[in-house]
Amino acid sequence: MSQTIRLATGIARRRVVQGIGAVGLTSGLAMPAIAQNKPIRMGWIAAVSGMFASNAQAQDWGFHMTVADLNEQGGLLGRKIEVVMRDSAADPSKAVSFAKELVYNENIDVLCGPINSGEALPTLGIVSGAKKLHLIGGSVEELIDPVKYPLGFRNLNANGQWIKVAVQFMVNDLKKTKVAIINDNTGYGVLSRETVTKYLATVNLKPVYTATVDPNKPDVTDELLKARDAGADVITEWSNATGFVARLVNARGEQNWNVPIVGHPTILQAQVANLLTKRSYWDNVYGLGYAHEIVDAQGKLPANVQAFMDKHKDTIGPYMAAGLPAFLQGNAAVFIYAAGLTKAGDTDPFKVKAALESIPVIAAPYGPFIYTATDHNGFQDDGIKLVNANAQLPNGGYPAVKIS
Amino acid sequence: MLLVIVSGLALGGLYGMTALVYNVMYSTSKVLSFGTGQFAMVGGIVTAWLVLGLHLPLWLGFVACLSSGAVFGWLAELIAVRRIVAASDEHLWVLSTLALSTMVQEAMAIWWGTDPTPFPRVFPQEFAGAFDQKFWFPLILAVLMAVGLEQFYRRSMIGKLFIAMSEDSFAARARGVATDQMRSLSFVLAGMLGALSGFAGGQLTFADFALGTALGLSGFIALAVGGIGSSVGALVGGAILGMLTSLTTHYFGAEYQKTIAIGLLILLLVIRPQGLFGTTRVRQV
Repeated sequence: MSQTIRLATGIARRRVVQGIGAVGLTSGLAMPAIAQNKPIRMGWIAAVSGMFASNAQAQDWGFHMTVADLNEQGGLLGRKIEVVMRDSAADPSKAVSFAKELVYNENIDVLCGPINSGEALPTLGIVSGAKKLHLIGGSVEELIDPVKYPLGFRNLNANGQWIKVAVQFMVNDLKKTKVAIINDNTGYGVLSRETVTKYLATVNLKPVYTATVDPNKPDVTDELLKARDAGADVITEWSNATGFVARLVNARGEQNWNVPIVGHPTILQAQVANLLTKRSYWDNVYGLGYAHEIVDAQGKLPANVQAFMDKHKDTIGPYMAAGLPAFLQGNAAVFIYAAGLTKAGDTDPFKVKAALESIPVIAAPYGPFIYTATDHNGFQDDGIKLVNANAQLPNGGYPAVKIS
Repeated sequence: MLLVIVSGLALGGLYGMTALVYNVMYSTSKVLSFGTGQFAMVGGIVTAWLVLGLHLPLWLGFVACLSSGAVFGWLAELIAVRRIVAASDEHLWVLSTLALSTMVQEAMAIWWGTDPTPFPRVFPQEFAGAFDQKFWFPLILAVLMAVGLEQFYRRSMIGKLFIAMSEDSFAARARGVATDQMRSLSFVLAGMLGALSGFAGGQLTFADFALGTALGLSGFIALAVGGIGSSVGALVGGAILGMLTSLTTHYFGAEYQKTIAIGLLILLLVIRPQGLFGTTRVRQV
């Protein structure tokens, strides 16, 4: 079987599934009949209600569609996949109790999620203690530690990767050196500010202004004026609160200050665009996107992404507003586990772990993942691309950014 | 600098209106409802839903906004206050109003969603910097609300009954005032005024399920600074808090704005516990 496993596109998936069938047949001979028919149980914790609901619902949809695709093709190792889903409602205490329930009572083979860092952090010890494979959907660096949590793998990029790419973009592409950092006062926002400052220091820069703001503050005019007075020639924002981000973009537009804003992927969301006083305020705003969103010269998305969207065109509508990365991240959780399981030929978590660490590249539609025994982050920097917020095409993609 | 001042005053107007709403309920019930900020949240969302979602005219959205506030206020008194206040002197209304507030917020999050959504422009106007309606509309409405309430208390019979109840509700009842109905009426009025503040500030805050909690806290600080029971105090307390928030950011950085605002509250309560315009009640022994 090819070491680079492609699952989500029709033809490539069939090829893999044929391989999976062969593996299931050979390895199944030694198993009792009951185990052969027993479904593979994937635990899935996503906050489909609560603060991050719109993004999580899209992830949840991507997750279920990918499972349905695999089941349509006969499942994995010849066994159907069953999803045991729990809605953590963005509440870390619920995430913890659901994680316990899934790993100890529901007899799952793998836990995917929780899908934000605040909920994922307190579940690490539980899942690791139960010796279950864990695909983690949070971006905070501390979530991944192959020594403490040897069965934990990240199925998206780490936050530091976003920030590193954003800083490189501001300094190398936009040629800006006077950076103002504006972040919200959540743990994530503060941590991001520190990381931006750290990466700026690597190119001998210091931020000219920093502001940590309550995301519910109704007006951020004063923060913008302060940044302007400090001489900022670029603003980088770190928040996943759509209202806060929109207020920031509005305040800049209302001051007729055409300074570029570079920031967290939230800034690309349709929910932000809806809150802008004028659509033109979205010009000169760059958000962290992905290579899977970049269209070619004909405006076409990468083939595997387009194939997934085409296959599910009847139900994808409500989830497009959250952007392609949201549902492709849901897809990635299943895709990565399927890749490891297929190569391992067995649901034993340590065998799947060894398989994931040995696959040279897992080419998920979300982006390329490379895991090793010492690094379970997986996602590659070149999978992240800055995109112009106001340049989104009807298919959800973006043209590559051209700096004049 | 003008924008900093105007934006601070606009925020102050919003906080001041919330403080006024606290006062209206407090006058008849001695209850500082934790759901006060939720009136604005409900009013803002109802308006945005009708005007931008269902494309109904703005005036109809405005009427529905006030009506939703009135109904919410009436229900709040009925569910979270009436029996609690009658049955106990132990301030259990803290729990009941907090519970109702949480339930309403969660219900709105489920129905409306957790992402803020746009609020309609009230007047046809291109964005006009410091003179934009999103800044001056809440400010003007806050002043009108304070003046209107003062006139209401001084000139109308119902207003005078509210004052009578705030002085001594047992004495008012002994003199034939239907105190339960008056209290209910004050919550209806408070709900309407709270919803009006959501309408006034909607362009600043958006239609957002999370607005109520933040506004409730800021409004309470404004109330404590200005002095419970005083309309002028509510307005001045709101203006001080709004300006302080804005100027703190401008001169010291946004990190310190909450610390300084809450610090002001503590300092003021230590020096002048009754607030700037509140009165000290002398109890005869």
